[in-house]
Amino acid sequence: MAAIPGGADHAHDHAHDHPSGIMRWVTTTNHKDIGSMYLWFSFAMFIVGGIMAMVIRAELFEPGLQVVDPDRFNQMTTLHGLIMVFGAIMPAFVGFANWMIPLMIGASDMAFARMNNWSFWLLPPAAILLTTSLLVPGGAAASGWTLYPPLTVQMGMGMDMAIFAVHILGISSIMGSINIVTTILNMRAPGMTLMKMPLFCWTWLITAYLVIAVMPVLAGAVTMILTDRHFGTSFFNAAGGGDPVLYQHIFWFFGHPEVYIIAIPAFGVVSQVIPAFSRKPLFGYASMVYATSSIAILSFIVWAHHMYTVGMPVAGQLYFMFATMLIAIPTGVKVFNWVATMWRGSLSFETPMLFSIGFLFLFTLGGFSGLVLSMTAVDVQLHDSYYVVAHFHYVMVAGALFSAYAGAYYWLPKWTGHMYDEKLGKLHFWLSLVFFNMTFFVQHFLGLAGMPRRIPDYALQFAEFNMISSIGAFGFGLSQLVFLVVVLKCLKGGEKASAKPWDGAEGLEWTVPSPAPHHTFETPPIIK
Amino acid sequence: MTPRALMAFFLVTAALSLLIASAWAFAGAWWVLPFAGIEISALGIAFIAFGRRVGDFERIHLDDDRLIVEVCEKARLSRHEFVPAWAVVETRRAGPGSEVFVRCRDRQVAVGRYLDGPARELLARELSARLRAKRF
Repeated sequence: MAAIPGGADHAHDHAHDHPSGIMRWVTTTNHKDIGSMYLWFSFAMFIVGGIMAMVIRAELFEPGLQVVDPDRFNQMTTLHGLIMVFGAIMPAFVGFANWMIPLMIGASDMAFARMNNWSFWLLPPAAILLTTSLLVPGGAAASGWTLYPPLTVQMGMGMDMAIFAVHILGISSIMGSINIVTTILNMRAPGMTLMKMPLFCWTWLITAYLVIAVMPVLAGAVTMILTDRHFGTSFFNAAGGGDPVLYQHIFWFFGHPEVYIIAIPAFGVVSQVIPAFSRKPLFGYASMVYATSSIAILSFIVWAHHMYTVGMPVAGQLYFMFATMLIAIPTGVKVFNWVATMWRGSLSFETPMLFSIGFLFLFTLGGFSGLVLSMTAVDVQLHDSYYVVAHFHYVMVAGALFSAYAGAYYWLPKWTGHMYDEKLGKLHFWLSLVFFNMTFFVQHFLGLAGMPRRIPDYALQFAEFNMISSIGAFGFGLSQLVFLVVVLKCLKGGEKASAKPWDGAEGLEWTVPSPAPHHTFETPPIIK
Repeated sequence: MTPRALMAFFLVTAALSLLIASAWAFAGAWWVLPFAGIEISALGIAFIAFGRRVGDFERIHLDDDRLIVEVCEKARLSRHEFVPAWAVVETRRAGPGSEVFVRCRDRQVAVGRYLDGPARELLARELSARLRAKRF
């Protein structure tokens, strides 16, 4: 793909003509500003959710209650899950989308710039609702991030705050997704057909479609909990003739695609980084697009593998088991394509590439433990055990978070205009890799040995692995501060980044100067 | 994407979303349906709003006798004709930014609405200078 940058004069930057100080950020409609706000917000929420994880691991450091009481422990696990999923990982990838999609498709901004501002500014109130729910009488929601009834029907005001927060976060996601879909479908540069689009844009188009399809399901589910709690309905209240299992079906009909809403943009980031540091085009571009679409479609029809133990007919168990196993095929296509991209490439191992390779190994491991869990007979044994906790942290942390770091290091020179400190970046990667595995690999053993999840205390037989896991978690938590140092250093100064700091990188985003000017592609480039 | 393809995209999305919501409504979880309706309406409104604005433009033509400003907004074209010798360009503060108008006695039209602040100011300066040149 050859791009002829349009007559856009990027040499002059009008940033100084915009409101300054706090009002710049409150009123901004610029996709880059909003992308930056999303990324900072997600990192802040990552720290908040991470502190909650530290409380959890401190409590589980050794048997016996030592840090928080059991109810507070349950609140910590619930808020940790909600904050990490809705407050940290999802906004991080929306931040990437905001920053990069217009640059990658040669658009001047997102289609609805004001709506973009609103979608971001809905997030802080939701975050405040979630975190301050710890302070209200009865404490925060303590039902787990899945918000299962009947617990959710019984809890205090913190539960209502969580429901409202989920609603607000959902509205924000929908607005963001509508914006992304409209932007990608309508604002591509002349000549950029869908099949010439960078894979990151493809993955976001598919993700946005998933969000639009499943968010009403979540909104409906939490609203029904709200009406059960306050308006006398009995959707999920067995005492009134309702069915708590119906909630589980509804939640996981949303919840499983949600996993891919998080994972698919991560695939997109890795699909940009690996070719750049292999100095080869992505192997099997079209098959990557079709595999990603297949994963998205399959994600709609596998939800009940999360709930084999609630009781379902054998035919149902068999169906969901085989349907779940099918996901391994398109996922395998993607993994093999990434490996094939690296095959005989001129590889170099800068921090983005290290995080991408880390993603590739560990996400595949998480996929394999997912395959184990897809088997009904095995899952019945492992359900609600630490094996499941280990599995989804391999997918969410080593998958989504590592890929987000890969993307952040990859595009940091474009965002800040400075090269980051490579030594610190590598230190961040190796510390994260070691401590991540120390935290979560041993949890497979704990689960196989029968340790249930969401418990504040445990039998003596689990003590050693829990201690290792907790030490790993503290190390992992502290390692993330290295990233903060890298970003702050990069913002402050450092080696000047050229327009294209990575020699193998391809795409329109590398045709504009670093840092990317406030306004880019005012005249669209022409793609040949 | 062509309007036809966009319409197809919207119809497929709407059908999928409403199918899912109807299935849940049939299973007793009817609250999913109104949310799906709201969301699909929002998507439709977004597409329509974008489609109506996508052809918007302003064209300014100046010759010896006439200053013509053509404004196409939401598929409606309006044409404003002024005598260059009598037309003036005014910049007015509006919130944190500014608006530029071409005015001739009691008639006026806003120009440069698709430009950012500095480019709009440049337009105002250049247009004023050319109008002045026509007068003398």
